[in-house]
Amino acid sequence: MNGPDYVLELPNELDAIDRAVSFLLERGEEAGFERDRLRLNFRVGLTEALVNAILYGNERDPDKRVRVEAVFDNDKATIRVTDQGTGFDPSAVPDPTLPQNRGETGGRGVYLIRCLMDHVEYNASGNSVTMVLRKRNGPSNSTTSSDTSMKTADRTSLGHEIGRLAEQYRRTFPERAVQVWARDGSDWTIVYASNGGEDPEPGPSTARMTTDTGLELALDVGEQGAALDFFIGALEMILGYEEEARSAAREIAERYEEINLLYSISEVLGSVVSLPAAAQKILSEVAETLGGRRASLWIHDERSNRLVLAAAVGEGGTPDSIAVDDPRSVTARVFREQSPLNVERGATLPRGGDDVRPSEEAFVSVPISYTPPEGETRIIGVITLIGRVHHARFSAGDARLLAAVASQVGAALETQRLMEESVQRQRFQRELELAHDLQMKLLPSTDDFRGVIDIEARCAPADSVGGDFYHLVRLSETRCAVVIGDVSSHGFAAAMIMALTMSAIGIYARESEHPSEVLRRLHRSLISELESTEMYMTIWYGIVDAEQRTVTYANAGHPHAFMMRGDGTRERMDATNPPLGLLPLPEYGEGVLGWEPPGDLICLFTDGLSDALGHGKASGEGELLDRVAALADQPSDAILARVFADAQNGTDVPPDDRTALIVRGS
Amino acid sequence: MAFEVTENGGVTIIDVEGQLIVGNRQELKQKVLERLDSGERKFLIDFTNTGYIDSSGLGVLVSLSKKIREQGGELRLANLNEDLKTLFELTKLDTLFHISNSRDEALQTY
Repeated sequence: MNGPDYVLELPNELDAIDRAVSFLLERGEEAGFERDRLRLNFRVGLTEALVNAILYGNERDPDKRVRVEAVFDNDKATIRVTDQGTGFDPSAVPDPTLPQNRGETGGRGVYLIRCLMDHVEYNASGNSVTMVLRKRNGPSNSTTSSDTSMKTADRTSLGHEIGRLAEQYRRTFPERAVQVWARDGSDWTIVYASNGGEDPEPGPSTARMTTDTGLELALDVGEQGAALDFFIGALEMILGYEEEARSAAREIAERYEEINLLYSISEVLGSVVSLPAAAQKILSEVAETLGGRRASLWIHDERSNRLVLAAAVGEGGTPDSIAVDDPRSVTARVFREQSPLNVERGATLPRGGDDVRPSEEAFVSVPISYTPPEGETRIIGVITLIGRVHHARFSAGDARLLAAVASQVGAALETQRLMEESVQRQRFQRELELAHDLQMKLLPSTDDFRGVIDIEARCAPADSVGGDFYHLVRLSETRCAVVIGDVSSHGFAAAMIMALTMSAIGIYARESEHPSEVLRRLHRSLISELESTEMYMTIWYGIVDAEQRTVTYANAGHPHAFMMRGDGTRERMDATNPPLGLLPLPEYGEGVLGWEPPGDLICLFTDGLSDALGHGKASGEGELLDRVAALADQPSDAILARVFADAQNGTDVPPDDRTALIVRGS
Repeated sequence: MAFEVTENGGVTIIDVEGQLIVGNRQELKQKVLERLDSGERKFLIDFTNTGYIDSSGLGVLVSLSKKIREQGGELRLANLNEDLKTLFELTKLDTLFHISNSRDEALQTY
């Protein structure tokens, strides 16, 4: 590159890029470059090269500079970007379009430059890149035509091209200047002349040709036979170039759209948006890029085995979901057979059964696959485009691009779905923990009764929340209501009954001196709740009187309530009535026992504890009481700690709520 | 498997093999309710081969008994072993069920 037209010395900052690119774009426009080539190829290629120079070459060093040299010739622009870094090996940059590299953040710039520029060359050390961009239709003094096809190529560009080639091969014709004329019916025009050529019309020794569009060309290289041979060879070359240029232009345009699309998809998926919003955005981008009139994105729901509409673009009666085995749905078929379908307008759409109606619109549908980090690829949904704007069909390239998008989308959507699920699980877990804490807080503290009666209690739900409970209500200086209960279930429903019971007891215990009356009222207020949830509740309600030395109790079906005497004997405080929630009774029974502290000990528990100790056998109750008796000389909390620890080992029974209370005199 | 259903003189009889516990109570419930829906009204559950009933097992018996009663029918129990009898007595559930010592006794008085 000799004698650049423009030399720019840029500071090493990204802000400088825009100014430099804008300046050179204007020069390119003045030099007659096509606007679309400037806007896309020139702007993007140059910008990428500058970004690379500033960020990677100069490594953001503010003390370094980037040099840009530009030459605008008749037919091409040559731009060289040089940084002050140590350079890099461009052949080591991976192809970002390969599946294994798509996740890489870098490498796209170098790839883009190669795609967009006609020629790219790095110097040996790799800190300088020279890019050449040719005009599509030849030099600027030609009458430019936007169509690149040979058939409509005007005489000047074709003639000029031939002349240029002849010039390059001038060594073959050293004795004469090269000159080319062209005419399409009227007068000859000189379309190319090397230095010295000045004849206004072709002489008799020139070789002549007529193209299939009627354009007449004349070439003078001084020797007719050689000129004719050259004519033919040159035309073949030009045709080849034209074809190459056309396909390159197509590919660049296609690639550019593809890269753009994948960029915007990763942008959408990278930002924190909800699953439906992401699906909708991606689908709009896809439909716009591929020119689809309508588009729909379907995600498979495993529970219902249906494809559920996640997003839709365009008018049309799209259903909310499709059964996977629907024989009439092409989308369902693509999902079932796990292979894409591309049908042009008017072709027979492979519907099920005898339905062989031709498709009213072009149709392309691809499965969305997802490959987990470890495991098999599976199909999670389908993307369908219907109706191609201006065309009868989607190209194979369209279908391939859609498939590429689908695989990206699949991974992202699946990841997002799993994330949402895990967030929900965590939320549910937090709520369970809250419920557990709340339930534990409902249980009264035993500290309030010290000095009068010594009460120790422990309650361990099987799940986060359970149906076991105990309650303590201080009735006077010397009297206290003690309650243990077991709702016939656990989980939230049981916990709700438990909470209702706790608050109801708080009220009724102070309204009535009689345990039987408290249970009667309790039953009345709970029965509809219990019946509607098909639960019942065993409950032992006793009033411990430290002054009278008695225990007065009512027992609705609770089997495990014992008076353990100082002399080693045990008395069961039998049920006076069936459990609550079965039958409304007009009256409840009561029992009274003498209570002689400190020897006598009241032991209450639920079957979760005795079943665990007895490994599911009825003997658990006896074992539990034996243990308590053996530990009777120890403090109550030590006894409970020991019994619960032993029950913890009973892992051969289904988990159940476990509760126990020990009441002694102070 | 655990529940065998037969019929004798207009009474639907269910034999419970092994245990009636939280893990299989729904199965018993379903079997009885199916027959209640199809018009049967007299039911007898025979516990000759039953070792253990847990609290949720008791719950399902209570709930079945209520449902059958609402339809004008009756649920009777027979052949409870000593442990099971104690369990019913301890919870006073013996006051809610007609409990017979043998299958014949239950059938004769129906």
